[in-house]
Amino acid sequence: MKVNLQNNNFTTMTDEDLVQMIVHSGNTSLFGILYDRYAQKVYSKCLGFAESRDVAEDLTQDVFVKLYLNLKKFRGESKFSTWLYSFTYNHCVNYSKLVLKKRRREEDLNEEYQDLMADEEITDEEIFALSVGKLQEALGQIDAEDKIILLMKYQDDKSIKEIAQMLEMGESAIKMRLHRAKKKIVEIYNSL
Amino acid sequence: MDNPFKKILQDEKLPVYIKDRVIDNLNFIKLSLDVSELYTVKVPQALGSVIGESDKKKEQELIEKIINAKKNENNDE
Repeated sequence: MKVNLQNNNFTTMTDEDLVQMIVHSGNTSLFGILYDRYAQKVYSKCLGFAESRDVAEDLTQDVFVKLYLNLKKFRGESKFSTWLYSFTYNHCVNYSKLVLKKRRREEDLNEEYQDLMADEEITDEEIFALSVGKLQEALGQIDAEDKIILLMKYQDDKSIKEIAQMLEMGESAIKMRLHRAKKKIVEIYNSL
Repeated sequence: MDNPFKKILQDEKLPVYIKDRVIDNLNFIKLSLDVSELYTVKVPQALGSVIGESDKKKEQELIEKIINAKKNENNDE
């Protein structure tokens, strides 16, 4: 089905109506309108989880391809933007699981944890005292696995338990990684 | 105290060519689905209806033959 985007009011349609039309017609030009509305937001979220721009671009592309195939699952129980946010978040978390799996050594981590916990913990107050500009620069230099945990904890307000469930890891492993990530971010921050 | 993580803005722009990549991928996926539907659903349906129709014709011919044969038998008597 060819759609004349100019002569119709598709561009002013609500997200929910647009989704209905795409589900019924399968039209990729209409999906392009939805893409234009949300691509930048999805990309910004992916940037937080990715170790490079290339990876963030690939993640964004994957999110939209998967979205097209799963649009019929949107039942309109929440706003489309909210649904898309959790759809994107879940996709990025799944990607993060793979990144973290590569470096997962639970037994070694537990030993490391004991050593690390002996160090003084960096408090949330110390983290909140960092300036935005320098923090953003420091996040650009830190490892992806540390960045993911820091952003889940401090940007998305996830608890240790929630992060552990999402990344399918033990709570003690997450505590240790968070502890290490906080130390690293402060180290990098202070070296700037 | 304000949380600086909440103020971090990702201001990097998504390259325009990603949209073309997404739409091309989707068109390819759509084509693949249409082709597989054609061979797994539509063609068997069409074949089924053609074969079904020819079977009906044969059945009708057979019935007519039997009726004619009976008529002829009755006429002979």
